Amino acid sequence: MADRCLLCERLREPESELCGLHNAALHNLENTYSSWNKAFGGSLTKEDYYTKLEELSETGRAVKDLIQHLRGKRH
Amino acid sequence: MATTLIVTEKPDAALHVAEALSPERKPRKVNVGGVPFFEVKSKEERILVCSALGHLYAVGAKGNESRSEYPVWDFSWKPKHFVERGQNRQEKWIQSISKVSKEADRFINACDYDIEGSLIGYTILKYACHGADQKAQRMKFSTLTVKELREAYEKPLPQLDFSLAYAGMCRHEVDWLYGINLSRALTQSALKFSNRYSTLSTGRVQGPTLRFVVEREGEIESFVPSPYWVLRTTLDVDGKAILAEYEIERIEAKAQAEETIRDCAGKTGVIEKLESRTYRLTPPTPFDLSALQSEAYRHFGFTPRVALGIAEHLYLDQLISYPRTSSQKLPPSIGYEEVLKGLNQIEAYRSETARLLTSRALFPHEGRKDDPAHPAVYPTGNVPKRDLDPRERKIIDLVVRRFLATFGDTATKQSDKATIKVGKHSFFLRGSRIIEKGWISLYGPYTRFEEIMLPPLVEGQEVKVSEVALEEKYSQPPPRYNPSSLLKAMEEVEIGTKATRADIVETLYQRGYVRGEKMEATPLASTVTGLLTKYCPKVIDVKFTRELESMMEQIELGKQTREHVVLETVDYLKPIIEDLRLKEDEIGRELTATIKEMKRAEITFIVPCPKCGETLMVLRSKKSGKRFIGCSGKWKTNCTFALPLPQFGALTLLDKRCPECGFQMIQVRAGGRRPIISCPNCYVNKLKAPRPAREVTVKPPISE
Repeated sequence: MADRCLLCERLREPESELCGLHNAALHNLENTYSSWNKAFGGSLTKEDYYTKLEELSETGRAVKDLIQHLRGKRH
Repeated sequence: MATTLIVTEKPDAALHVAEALSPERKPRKVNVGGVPFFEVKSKEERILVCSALGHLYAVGAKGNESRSEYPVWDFSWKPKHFVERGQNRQEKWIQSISKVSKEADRFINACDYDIEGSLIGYTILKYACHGADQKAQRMKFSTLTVKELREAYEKPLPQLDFSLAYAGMCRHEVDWLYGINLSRALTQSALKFSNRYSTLSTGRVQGPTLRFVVEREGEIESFVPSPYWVLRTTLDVDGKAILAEYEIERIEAKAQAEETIRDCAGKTGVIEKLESRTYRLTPPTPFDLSALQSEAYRHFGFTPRVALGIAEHLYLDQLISYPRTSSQKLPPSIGYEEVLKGLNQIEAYRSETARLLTSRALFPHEGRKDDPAHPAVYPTGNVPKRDLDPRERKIIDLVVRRFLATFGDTATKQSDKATIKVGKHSFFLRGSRIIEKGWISLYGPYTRFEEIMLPPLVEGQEVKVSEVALEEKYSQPPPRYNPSSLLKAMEEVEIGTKATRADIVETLYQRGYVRGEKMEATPLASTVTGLLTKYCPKVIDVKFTRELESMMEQIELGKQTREHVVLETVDYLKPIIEDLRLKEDEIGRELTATIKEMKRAEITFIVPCPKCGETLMVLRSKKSGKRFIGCSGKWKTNCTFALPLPQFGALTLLDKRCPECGFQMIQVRAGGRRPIISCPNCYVNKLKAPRPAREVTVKPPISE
């Protein structure tokens, strides 16, 4: 349905394709990449970053949904 | 002969009051219409003591409106059996109290001295005793001991504590207006859309409390961890291996961590500095209710509601003072010495109490919080008259030891720190020990101090880095609330009262909004909170709830009227409810989708069918009505995979795999029994496995 988030059944936020939760996950995912890249000496690709996050139990469920979605978009 | 009618809150309290006022401690039990009264007679007066069963009156809609109608703004106080289902005993109680009250010349409210107790007594005296509230007196006490009850009876307050009772009435009325209108708006919206009934509720305090849990769930679900590295360093000090801390607790770049390892591995360092500091550890403050609930959760895992329930039993058994208190103070009037002497009769506390009684003047280490109605929770010093169950023994021991500890001396702790320089890097060795135990020895098992002794060290001494390793770690998401930490969060923002917070936390479980001891918000909780945030954000706004709370506190102080607060609430709620009514379809659609999703999740297994890979579900046989695990692939792939399930008890699919076969575990909880956790797959495999041959003993036939 048009008013639903791309990744779940929640209502999407105004001017966004995502709901509040997935938008928060996207915001955190984008903002944390630079600290990961710095931690690994500037050689960490986004793909490696996503792979690492998917493996970790600390990573939130909404973040994992988002990574799958972003991967699907690329392929 | 004059007759006095004393109203208490619970039957046990009625018996204790009657016993205390009877010279021989043997009041006569009188049955009036199936309701027990206790009679104490002297030459001058006859005293009748009756009990309530908690609230006998409650707020209900005026007239006979249906339970699904909303909005509802007109209300009145009615006998509870008119308002709530399953309150038949209350009817008998009201009739008997009403009948007996006609014989009485004097009335006393002896319910617990707090908002709820004042209200319970006030409504009974006003409605059941034909307006006796205007001439009634009030007994004020904090323990059910003979001494205190007699004093309270001999010197009662000349009239009822009306401001407390009105504040209580207002709280019930405002909560009713909120609860009935908002909950009905949610329930009816879902019902109209789906034609299926689900109880959905929210409330003045419940809404903001649920929001805490939902927001925390959102933080966890959208959490992205960050990496960091920790050095695990072992130093060789005179042949002894000791773990040392690196100066940087979290190294944020891998390269920097690896460089530190290269700099230090196998190197020899020097002890640059030795420092020792002593700290004074002041005794704990006496228990207010929330501190008692928090310690009971920490040490025994009791939820706040369970801890309060046990404490109330101990109060009714005359073993501790009234537990619903905000006070951290113990006034001398409670009789410190007398309590200690009483506790001295109990073997477990003999040496500690003897030490306190002989040491010096007794001064408790009090906290800042005060409660005009009651002191902090303390033991009465009475010896239990019955065998306490294990849970009661735990709580009474905690209360006694906390009481003793507040009279203890300050404890002294020494912390030692050695700084070791390895090139440009610093490492630390830390030790700590208790020099003077003071109150720690009185609080016993409820204090946990890990003593770490450092070996003898001197400045300039050389130590070798025998091992240094790198550990990759990740930042952690914020922890989920548990019942105790959620209660603390409510207390911090001052929503709810000490009497209601534990029940509100429990309601979140009952409504299916949270699950697990580490409280996980369900999709329904997110939907309800999301809808309220969208359509009426103020309803779940802590600030607004707090403002209302403060207005109600003003009634207690006589600075605000009940009518004003109720009118403000109606004015505020009216447009919100009207707006919600217009959006019933939208709200119903959202709620129905979530309820369906949750119901489906409750019966859907995470593990796929081992035969065809489709989804496994809990199904019911059309023929026999029996439940079983079936494969949804039956209609696609003709899969016939099925496993039997227990037929009785509530079934829960656990988020846990079988350690033997990896299948999803289930839990079955049948009424009054401990839940059984098992693996349905292993159960069938065990049934299929050939049974080992049994030795058969043939008994000789019994001779006649």
